[in-house]
Amino acid sequence: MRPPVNETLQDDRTLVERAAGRDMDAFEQLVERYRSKVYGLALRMMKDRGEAEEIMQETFLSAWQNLPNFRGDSAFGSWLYRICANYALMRLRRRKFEAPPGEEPALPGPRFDSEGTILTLPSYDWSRGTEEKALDRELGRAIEQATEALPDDYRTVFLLKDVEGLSYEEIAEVTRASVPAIKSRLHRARLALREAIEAFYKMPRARVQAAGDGTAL
Amino acid sequence: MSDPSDKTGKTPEWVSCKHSIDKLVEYLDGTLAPEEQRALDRHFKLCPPCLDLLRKYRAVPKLCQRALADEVPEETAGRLTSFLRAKCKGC
Repeated sequence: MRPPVNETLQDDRTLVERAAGRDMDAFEQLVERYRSKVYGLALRMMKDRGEAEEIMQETFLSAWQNLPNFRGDSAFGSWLYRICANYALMRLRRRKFEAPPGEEPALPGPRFDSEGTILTLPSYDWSRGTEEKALDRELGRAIEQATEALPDDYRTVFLLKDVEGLSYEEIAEVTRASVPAIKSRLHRARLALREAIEAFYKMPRARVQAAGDGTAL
Repeated sequence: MSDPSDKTGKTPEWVSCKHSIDKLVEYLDGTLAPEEQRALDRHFKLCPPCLDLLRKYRAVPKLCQRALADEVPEETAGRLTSFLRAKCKGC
């Protein structure tokens, strides 16, 4: 079971202080604690395991080198995710430079009539109990695919805000985008992911399962 | 995003579905002006399709956090440890 957030933060602080004093054992404990999150963020941003591994290594090496300057204004985890996102964004920008950008795909979302009235009718409510029930593996795969399908800028903002919990200001610093632009991308990413989950539940297989014992989302 | 304010600068009693959905980020962050927050509250109370969308939109982050939680593969973790032990010495 994970320790409560406050306990983790307190514990992080002690380990960070020791690691800043060049205690490798303390640093390795921090690495063990955060490596899956850092790897996951890099993997989702890059969509490539090899690059995710390299970014994870670069992130922790940079953290080790810069720990003596870490002032603790933000949580250690947020600081790490920002380093990781910076390395990933540098690579994504290089990719864009190498391959000129095409038309950005239109993201799925709700449709409205000319008066601004929504055209979608309510359907099976999959939002209930999202925290308690076991996650269906197929649904997990559908979410992964929908996340990967988001344009880089939208995927990055969504991962940093809704998955890693960074503030708008922290994301603005990393992405060099304005806060209104970040909010707009976040909104469109959430709508697109909602559409993907909705589409999953409209498949006959998912409906049958949802109506079954109710233990899986 | 359209501004629902009328000529007096006030938010009207009723805002459109599109406006309500366009403002979801600010609505859920609680950063709208109180009058507009109330107008959206009213809209969601009286518009079942928008309420349905709001509930699902709000559930997206939690669901995605769970779906996108990764464990670093053991071999990859092992290479990370070796890399750091080699690189961090003396720096």
